[in-house]
Amino acid sequence: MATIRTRSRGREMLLRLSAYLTILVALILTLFPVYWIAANSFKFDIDIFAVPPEWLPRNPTLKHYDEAFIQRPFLRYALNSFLVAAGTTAISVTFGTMAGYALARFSYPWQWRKQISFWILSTRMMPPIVSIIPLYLFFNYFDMLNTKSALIIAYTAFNLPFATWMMKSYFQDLPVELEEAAIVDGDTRWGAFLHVALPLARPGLAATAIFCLIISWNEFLLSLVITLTEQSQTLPIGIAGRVTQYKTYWGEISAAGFMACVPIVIFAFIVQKHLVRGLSLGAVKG
Amino acid sequence: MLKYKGELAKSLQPGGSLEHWTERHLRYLMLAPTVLILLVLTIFPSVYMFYAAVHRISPNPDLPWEFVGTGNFVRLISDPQFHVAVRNTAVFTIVAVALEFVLGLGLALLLDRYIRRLSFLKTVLMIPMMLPPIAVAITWKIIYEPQFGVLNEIMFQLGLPVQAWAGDVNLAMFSIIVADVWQWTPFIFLLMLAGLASLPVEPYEAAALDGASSWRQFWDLTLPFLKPVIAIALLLRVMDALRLFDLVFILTGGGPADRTKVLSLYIYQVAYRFADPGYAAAISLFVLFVTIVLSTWFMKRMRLAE
Amino acid sequence: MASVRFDNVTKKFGEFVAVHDFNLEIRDKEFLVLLGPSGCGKTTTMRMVAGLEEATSGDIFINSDRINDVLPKYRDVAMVFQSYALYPHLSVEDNIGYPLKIRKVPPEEYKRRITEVARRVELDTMLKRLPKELSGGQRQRVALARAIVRTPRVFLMDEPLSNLDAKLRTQMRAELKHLQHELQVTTIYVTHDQIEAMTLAHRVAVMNRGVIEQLGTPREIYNDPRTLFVAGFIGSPPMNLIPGEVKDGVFASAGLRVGGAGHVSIPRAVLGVRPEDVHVVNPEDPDVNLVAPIYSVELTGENTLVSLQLGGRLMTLRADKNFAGQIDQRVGTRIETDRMFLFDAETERRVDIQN
Repeated sequence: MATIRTRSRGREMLLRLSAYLTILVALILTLFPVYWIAANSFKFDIDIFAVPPEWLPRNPTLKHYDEAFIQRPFLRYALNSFLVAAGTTAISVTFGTMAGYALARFSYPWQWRKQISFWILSTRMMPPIVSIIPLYLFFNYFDMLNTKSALIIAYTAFNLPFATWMMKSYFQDLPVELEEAAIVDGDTRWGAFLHVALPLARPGLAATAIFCLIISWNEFLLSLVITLTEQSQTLPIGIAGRVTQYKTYWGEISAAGFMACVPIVIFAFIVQKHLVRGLSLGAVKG
Repeated sequence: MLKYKGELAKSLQPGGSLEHWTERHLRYLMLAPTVLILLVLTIFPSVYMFYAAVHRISPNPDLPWEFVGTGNFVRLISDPQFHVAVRNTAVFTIVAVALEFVLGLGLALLLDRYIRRLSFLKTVLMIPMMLPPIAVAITWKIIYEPQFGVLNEIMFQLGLPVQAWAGDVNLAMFSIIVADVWQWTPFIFLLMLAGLASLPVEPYEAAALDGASSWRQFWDLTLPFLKPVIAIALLLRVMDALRLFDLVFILTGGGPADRTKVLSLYIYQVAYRFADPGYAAAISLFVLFVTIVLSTWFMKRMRLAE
Repeated sequence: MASVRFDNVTKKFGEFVAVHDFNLEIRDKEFLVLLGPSGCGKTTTMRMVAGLEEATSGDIFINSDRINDVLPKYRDVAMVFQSYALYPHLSVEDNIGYPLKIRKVPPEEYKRRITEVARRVELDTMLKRLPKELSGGQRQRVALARAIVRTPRVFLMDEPLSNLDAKLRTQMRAELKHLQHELQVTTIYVTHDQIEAMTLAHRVAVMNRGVIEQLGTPREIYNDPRTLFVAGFIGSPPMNLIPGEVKDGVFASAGLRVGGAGHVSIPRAVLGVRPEDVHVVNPEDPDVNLVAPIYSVELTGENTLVSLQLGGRLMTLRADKNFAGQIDQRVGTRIETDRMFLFDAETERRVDIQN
């Protein structure tokens, strides 16, 4: 008995040690690329190209931030990104919340509930490349290319189903008696939604909104196709534009790329409790 | 006292008041905006794409579309570039998702018991998948850079031959996959952790009492319990891998020698560089078809819609 | 002032019939209990009054108003939920005041009413707390306060005491009864607990499979069960139900013969007798109905429950607390024939005994 116990304790120690080592390695692998882009953004060009690499910026400089955000229109791109993200998030969360509530609570004839849920989910699965050609032709026809409204419309195509499914899953977590109590207490069904369900789903609502912001902020392909002008292009397109066939502006894209990451990392920490649910479209409740 | 008599009388006529009508139809009213918006944003493009796919569309907007029937689809069969794109997409999807799955699940099993108390670290490990793909792409572009990139420095220190990585015919796809695995392994890891956290304890205690080895417990208990989460994770990853664009666009541009030309990139090139939207629409339909078949099969099998 | 009436009300969920052709009138100021096992349709019946479910067919009236198509907010009923359904994001005060706020009651009146109601249910010191900071009993009081704050026409209570522990339940039961008497509001109360039904109700409607098995005062339900279901459902320990045959005024079953069973012969009969109507007698006694071995002896305190082995089943009787029989000992019993019931097993209805 005693020998078995000592052996399993030794094994347990080994397991623990290897687990912590793995975590350490994973942390380094995860963080190094992010660190590297940040480090490079603070280096002079000559130091970026240094061999062997300069692990810490020896002469830190804000030169590339000045180039990107003052001399070149990256501030404008960031603003465009933000406006488009805010627009599509507002639309998606507003309508997605209502639809999510409806699908979580109401019954419909002929199994509509299941079929509509399924259909909405499948629109989320549609690859954006599939819709860019018709969207491009459509926006071209209505003379909406190079506008932020076009981007907002295009992004809503995937944010709205996302918001609907997320909110559906949050509403399903709420006990239905609370709304029933409100109805018996003298509220309408709509009032019960507004006064009881919505305040209780507020954390989920905030998480959903942040996810929509992140998804829109990160989007690249649709923006690449729909926008060509400085007035409408988003941050990712601006960055990609500095990677040309002839020259890559390493410092500039590092600075802009790093700045594109900062709000996302902050947001990720805000929604950390909801990450699992958000990433699985509400299917897995973390 | 509160008076209701008048209101009661008013509402006794069904359908008489706006409020009554709204309440009765609330289930449709709340769902309608979303359904309408999505109908316009998905059905319209789909139909329009069918229409585009059977035409030759000139880059000159003043010229009319020329009806070519199944011409664009016939072209698919004999287009070697299309075949290359299909193969590249398949290779990327299978290899990347398989690697992410094995790594993510393995890490989750190994770290489950130790990382529960370290939720802060968990969040840090999640950072890659939240980052803008474009930022991920340029980060790896800097790392892969043949002359001054970090990776070649490490190779040099280890006494290994330096490589062109994303610029190398044989390593380009591998480079893309590594970047994708870096970004998306945390996704599988996180979902598997969530799955593991929801496992019941009793069956394991019973199995341990019955003398089942850890390996047996994994096959007989953990894997079946995790099946729904695994299904969701794989479905989402496969759907995402099929639409790979940003990484390729920045890291390789589809090269060298078309080794990383995936379907999304090919459609983009056909539509905008070769200015042939009709044919691009035909390829898009193929992608749409594959996506629908795959996702329906997955969702039907896993009854995801409920 | 309110009475509630169901006229031929049926409720279906898909193919499942939850409530079948239901007819019932609840009188003004009455405390009516819907009693039955889970799934018998009692909660569905009550929810139709609240407007949370729609009747598939039939009419529901409050006084003379047909309310089938009236929105819940205009029905002026209040409901206490089994889970209490307190709004977790609102303080006790705001929870109680919610029905008033919806009705836009002026602030002074709002304040006055909440204070009054809170004092009545002894919550006046916790108005600022959130529901999660309250004990189970206090939450129950908040739910009650929210229901009485606006003096509705009808109270609906859906198993309001079932989440409380046994001691608190007895206490709240008494408070509920007192409150209803004081407020004089028509009350429909749903429960599966027969003690609650017996102690609270003016009248009890025993429900089974979507229909009323019997409607009557608690005493009638207990002393005069009309169907096999009611006989078996009411009483603790339950009535002994022994299958057998009635012929020539004698009920006969394996090892048991009871005379005085009327003139009608019933080929498949069930004899029902409550444990307190069976007495232990000397096995040699001329009146003895049954001699059987003791299966178990359980002392409850005020008396002793004795189970006898009778064929393949048990018969329970309530004996004196000083009963000294041992397991396997054979004892004689006598059944009080004027307190026994006979049921036809085919129709599950009672057959009146006329000797």
